[in-house]
Amino acid sequence: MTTSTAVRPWGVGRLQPYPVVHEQPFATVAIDPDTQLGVFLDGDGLVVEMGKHGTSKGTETNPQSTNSDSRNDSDHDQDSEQD
Amino acid sequence: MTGTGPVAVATEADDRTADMVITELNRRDVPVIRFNPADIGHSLTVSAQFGTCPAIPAGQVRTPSRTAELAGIRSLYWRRPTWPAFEHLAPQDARFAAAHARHGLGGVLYALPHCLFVNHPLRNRGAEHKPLQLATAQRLGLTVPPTLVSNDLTDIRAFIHAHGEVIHKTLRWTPYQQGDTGLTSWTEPVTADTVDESVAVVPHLFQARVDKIADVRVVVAGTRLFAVRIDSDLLDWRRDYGALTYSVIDLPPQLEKALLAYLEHFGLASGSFDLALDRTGGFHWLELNPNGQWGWLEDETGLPLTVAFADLLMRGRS
Repeated sequence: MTTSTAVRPWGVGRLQPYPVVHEQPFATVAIDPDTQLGVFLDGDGLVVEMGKHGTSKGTETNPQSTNSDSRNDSDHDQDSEQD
Repeated sequence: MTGTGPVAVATEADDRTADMVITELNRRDVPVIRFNPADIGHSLTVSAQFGTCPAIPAGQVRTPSRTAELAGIRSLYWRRPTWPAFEHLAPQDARFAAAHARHGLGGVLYALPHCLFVNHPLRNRGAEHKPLQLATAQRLGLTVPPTLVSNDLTDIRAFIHAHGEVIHKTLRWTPYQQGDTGLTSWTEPVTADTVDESVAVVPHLFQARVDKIADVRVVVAGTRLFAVRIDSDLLDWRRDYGALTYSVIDLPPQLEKALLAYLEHFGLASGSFDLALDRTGGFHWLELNPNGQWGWLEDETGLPLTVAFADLLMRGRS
């Protein structure tokens, strides 16, 4: 019988915001059938040039940020979250 | 037989690191099939047969633009796949569907017969447990900071008193939203009076703070190892990428050997290690990210990481 169901783990109180939130400069991403590369499209379906710089920074910035390559290392393999 | 067919890349559509590797594979005329497990359904199908012919399994994975024979897939780059949640279904139906995606598509991929896995998803999972990481590092002779995993307040306070400067790290990252703001954990000092009975709810990880002069990120692709020294005034360098300077360094051969043995122990073809460098030149092992990011390090240092990953994937198991 547990008596602590309403107590949140201490570590939750240690969580803090990510430093930066960027707007994504694209609306959707499609896969080019010929190259298998991502094609970034704006809200009108026009191709957005993402450029090389800033394409793949960091291991720990906001998952909502411009660049999901900057996600936390460990959540890449979301396979491990369940089962 | 080694797969002579395509390199399979499992990742979401927005993945510019995968794009870098695929661009390099395209340049080499290596065929690629890219898919995201979340697309299972009409735009991603799998058929695998067992007990019907010598190929185990026999069958195909198909996307709108590519078809690959399972037995021919030479390597699988498990980059940043997402799984479907079936949120449009009732909860029990969604649970059923999600489990079938994982055990059906996932299960077939885990069984690819002639494939080099970068990395095998189940090996990643094993290696992601920090207590197992710490035990393995210590056994391999790496210098591990004194660490406590516990949900006993008395033990935790005693540990903090014994080691003076102590930090807390999460045992596992989970998505956490507060309103529209995403929260995560940062390495910060902890004192004995900041911990309370709520540590008893679940185990927490506490570690003696390393008196470091720099951090080191080590990216391994197959047997190639790239070490980057990261200088900043930050306890946790992830907090401000603008404050970092990078330099490529050589590691002591003994340390390189231990890190490669570490990945071999877990059955991983690649991984990213975090180390701390102290003022005597000693390296302290902090953690392994089995599926760590490396794209930004190539931008910052010019290290040929894309080429190294493309080499590994192109070579497959040969």
